[in-house]
Amino acid sequence: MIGSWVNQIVQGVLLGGLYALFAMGLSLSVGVMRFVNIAHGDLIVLVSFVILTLTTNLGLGPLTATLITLPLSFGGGYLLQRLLLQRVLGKDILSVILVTFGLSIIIQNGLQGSFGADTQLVRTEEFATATIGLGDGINVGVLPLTIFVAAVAMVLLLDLLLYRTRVGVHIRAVSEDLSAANLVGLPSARIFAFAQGIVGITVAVSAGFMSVWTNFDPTSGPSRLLVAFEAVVLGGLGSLWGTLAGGILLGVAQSVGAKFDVSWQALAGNLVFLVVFVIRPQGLFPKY
Amino acid sequence: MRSCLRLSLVPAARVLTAIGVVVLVGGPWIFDIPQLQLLTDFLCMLVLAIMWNLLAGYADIVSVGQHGFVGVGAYAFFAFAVLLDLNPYAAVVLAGVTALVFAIPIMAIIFRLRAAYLAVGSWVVAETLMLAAGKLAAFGGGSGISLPVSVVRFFGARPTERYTTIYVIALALAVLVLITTYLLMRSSIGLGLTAMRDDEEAAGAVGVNLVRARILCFLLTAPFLGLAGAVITLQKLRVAPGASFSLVDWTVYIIFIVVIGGIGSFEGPMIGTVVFFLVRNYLAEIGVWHFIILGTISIAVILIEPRGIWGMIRRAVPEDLIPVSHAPPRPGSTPSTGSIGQVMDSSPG
Amino acid sequence: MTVAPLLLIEQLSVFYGQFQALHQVDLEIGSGEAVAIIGANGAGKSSLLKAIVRQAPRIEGTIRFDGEVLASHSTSSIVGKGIALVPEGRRLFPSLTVEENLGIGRDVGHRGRFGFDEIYALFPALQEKRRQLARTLSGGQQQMVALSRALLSNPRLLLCDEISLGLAPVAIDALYRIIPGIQAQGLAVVVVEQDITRSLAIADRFYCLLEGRVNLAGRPAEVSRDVIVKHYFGL
Repeated sequence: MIGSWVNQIVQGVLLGGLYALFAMGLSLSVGVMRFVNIAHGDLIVLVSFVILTLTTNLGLGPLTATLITLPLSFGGGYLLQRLLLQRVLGKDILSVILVTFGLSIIIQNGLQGSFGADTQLVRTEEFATATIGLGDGINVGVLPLTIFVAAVAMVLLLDLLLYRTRVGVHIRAVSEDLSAANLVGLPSARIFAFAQGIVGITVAVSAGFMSVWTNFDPTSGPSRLLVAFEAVVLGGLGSLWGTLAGGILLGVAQSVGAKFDVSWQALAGNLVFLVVFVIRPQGLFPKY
Repeated sequence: MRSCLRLSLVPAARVLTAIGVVVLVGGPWIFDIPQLQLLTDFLCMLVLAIMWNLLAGYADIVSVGQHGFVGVGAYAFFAFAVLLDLNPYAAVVLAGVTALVFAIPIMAIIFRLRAAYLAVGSWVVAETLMLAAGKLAAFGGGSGISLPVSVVRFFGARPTERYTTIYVIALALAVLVLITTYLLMRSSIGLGLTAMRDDEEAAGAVGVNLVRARILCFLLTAPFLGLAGAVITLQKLRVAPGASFSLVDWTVYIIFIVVIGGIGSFEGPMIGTVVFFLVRNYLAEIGVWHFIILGTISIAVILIEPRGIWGMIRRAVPEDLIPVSHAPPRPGSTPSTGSIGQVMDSSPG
Repeated sequence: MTVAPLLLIEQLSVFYGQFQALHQVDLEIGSGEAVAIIGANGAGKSSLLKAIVRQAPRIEGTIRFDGEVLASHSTSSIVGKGIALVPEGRRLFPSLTVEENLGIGRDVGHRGRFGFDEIYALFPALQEKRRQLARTLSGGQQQMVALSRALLSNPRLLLCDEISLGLAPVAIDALYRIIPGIQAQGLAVVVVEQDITRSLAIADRFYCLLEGRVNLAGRPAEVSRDVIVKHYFGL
C-alpha cells in the first residue's frame, strides 16, 4: 500500500522534471527581461510539431530531429526578441502581454490550420515504455528518468552560463539594472536577444521530450504555459533551482491527485499552487 | 479643414450613436428573433468589453481570467434558479452578487502579483474554477447540464416572448453598465483612474490612492461579469465548464475587441464590439484564419497605434464622443496627455 | 585652436517630454583637456552628459566626436568609439562582483593603456575586494569601481558625473588626485560637479550652466571666484 504511494510520488517527481524543463525558459525570460511570454507554451508546441514533421516526413529519429531544432530555436528566439518583443519591451506591460497573447493565438490557430486538431505523439518504440526497477517494487520509466536528469542538467548548464561566462555577466547586469547597463554602453537589445535565444534552446529541449512522452495538439500551449508559470512562481522569481523545485512540487501534486481520480490531476496541481502561493507568495527560493 | 472635420464629425457621430440607442431600445419591435439573439450576444460582449477595458485600460489590471467570473455567474444562476428553485429574475441578480463574493478572495490572491504575473495568475484562477465546476455532479459534471424547461418557460411560453425578454434583460444590463461606467468616470474616482491611465507615477504623486482605485475597479467589474454570465446562460440554455468558462469567447475575443477598438477610452470598447460583430459575420466561413487575422491585427495595433481605432479617430478629432473627461476641451490639445501629465513632468536634474 | 576639438557640441537642446533641460548649448572639449562643468542642481549638467552618450529622450543639435557626427548611434557603439561615462550615483551592479563589474567596462571598450593590472595598481583596495559583491563596498570604493569600469574601456573622453556626491572628503580627494594622472595618459576628462573648488582645481577650462544655458566659460586661473559664484547662482 505504502509502496504504491511512494511509487506515485516518485512518478510525480519525475513528471516534475518535465514541468521544470517547460518552466526553465520562462524562468529565464522572467528573471532577465522581466516579462511573462504568454506564447511560451505555444512555442513549445510549435517546436514539437516541427519535430513531428521531421520525424514523419524525413524519417529522422526523434533525437536527431530535436538536435536539428536546437539551433533553429536559438535563431527563432533571437529574431523574435530582436524584431518583435524588443519593440514593446520598453513600453508598458500591457503591450507585451497583448503582443505575446496575440502571438499565442496566431501560433495555435496556425498549427491547427496546418496540422488539424488531432492529438499527436512522436513514436520512439521501446524508449518510451522501457522501465528500470529501483527496488522495493518501484519501477520508473527510462524516459521520465532521462527527462528528470535532463532538467537537472539544464539548471546546471544555465547556472554555468550565467555565472561563469562573460555573456552571463552581461545578462545578469541587464537584468539587474537595465538603465545603468545602457548608460555604460552594454548593448542591451543584443543581450536580450541572446537570452531569448537561450530560452529558445530550452523550449526545443522541452519540446523534444514532451513530443515523445505525452500527447499534444495545437491547443496544448496554454496548459503548458500555466504549468510553467506556476512552477516559476512557486519556486521563486529569479531562481532556476527554485523553478526546478516548483516543477517537482507540481508534478507530485498532480500525481497524487491523479491517484484519487484521473480527472483530479490538473485541478490538484492548480489547487496546490494557489494554496502555496497564498501562504508564501514570494515562492520557495526567491531571489527578489 | 480640421475644424470643419471637427464641426461635422463629432455631432454627426453623436447623432449616429443616439440613433443606435433608439434602435436598440426599439429592438423587439424592429428585429426578428435571430437578429434579437445576435443583438443579445452583442450586448453581452459589449458589457464584457467595457469591464475588461475598465480594468486594463484605466486601473492597470490586465486580466486574462475574466471568463472565470462569467462562469461563476453562469453556475450561480443555475444554482439559484434551478437547484434552489428561486425566482429566475432574483437568480440573475444573485448571480452578480455571487460573482462579487468570489471576487474578494480572488482579489486577495492575485493582487499580490503584478502586471504580467497578475494576468497569468488570473488565468490560473479561472482555470481552477472551471476545473472545479467540472467536478460538481449537481451541475452535470464535465459535460454540463441544460436549463430545465420550467425555468426556460418562466421567461415566456413561446420562443418569441422568451428571446424578447432575454434581449430586454441584456439591454437593461448594458444600459446599467454604461451608466455606471459613465458616472464612475465623471466622479472623482474616475478622475483618479484617468490620471492613472495617463501617468501612474504622477497620479500617485498627486495623491490618487492607486490601491483603493484598483480594488474598487476589480470589485465593480465582478458582479457585472457575473450578471453577463447569467444572461449568457439564458441564451445558451445550459451550463457547461467549457462553454460557461470559455477562455476564447469571454476573454480572448474581448481582449481583441478592446485593443482594436481602443483601450483606455470610453468609446473604444463600443467601436471594437461593433467592428468585431461585423467581422465575425462576414468572415465566419474562414475558420481558424479569422483568429490569425484578429491576432495579427491586434499585434499591428499595439505596435502602430496603441490607442486603437478610437485613437486614430482622436488624432483628427480631439473631443470625446461621449464626454467623460473633466478638463474643458482645449482647442488643439492632444487628447492623451491630460493636464496632469503636463503639470507633473519631473525635473531630470 | 588650430586642432579640431575632440568633442564639439553645437546648439544642443535636450527635452524630457515638454520640459526642456538644455537650451541650444555650445561647448567643446579638446584632446587631453580637463574641463569642469559646474552648476547647481537641475542646471542640466547630467542631461548634457547623457545626451553625449545618447541616453536622453529627445536631443536636438549636433554632437561631433573626433569629427564624426553622433546622431543615430547606439550608446554601445558610442562607447566603442571611445567615450565612457561614470554615471551619477555610480550605478554599479550590486549583485555582481567587483571583478565582474570591472569586466563589463573592458568588454564594452577595447584594449589599451588601462587593463586590470593598471587599475589594481591605481586602486589596491579593489584588488583585495575583487571577488566581493559590489554592494558590500563603501561609497568611496564603489566610486573607484565606477571610475575604473569607465577607464577599462580605454576611452579618449571620460565623462564623470558628480563623482564626489555622497562621499567623505578624504575619498573625494583620493579620486581627484587620480584625474591629472588620467589626463597624462592622453584622455580628455569632463568633470561635472556641484562642488566648485575641487573641480576647478584640476580643470584647464570650465563652463558654468544655469537653467540649461551656459552663462560663463573660461579658464579657472583667469576668472575670479566671485564672478564664478555669481554665475553659478544666477545672481
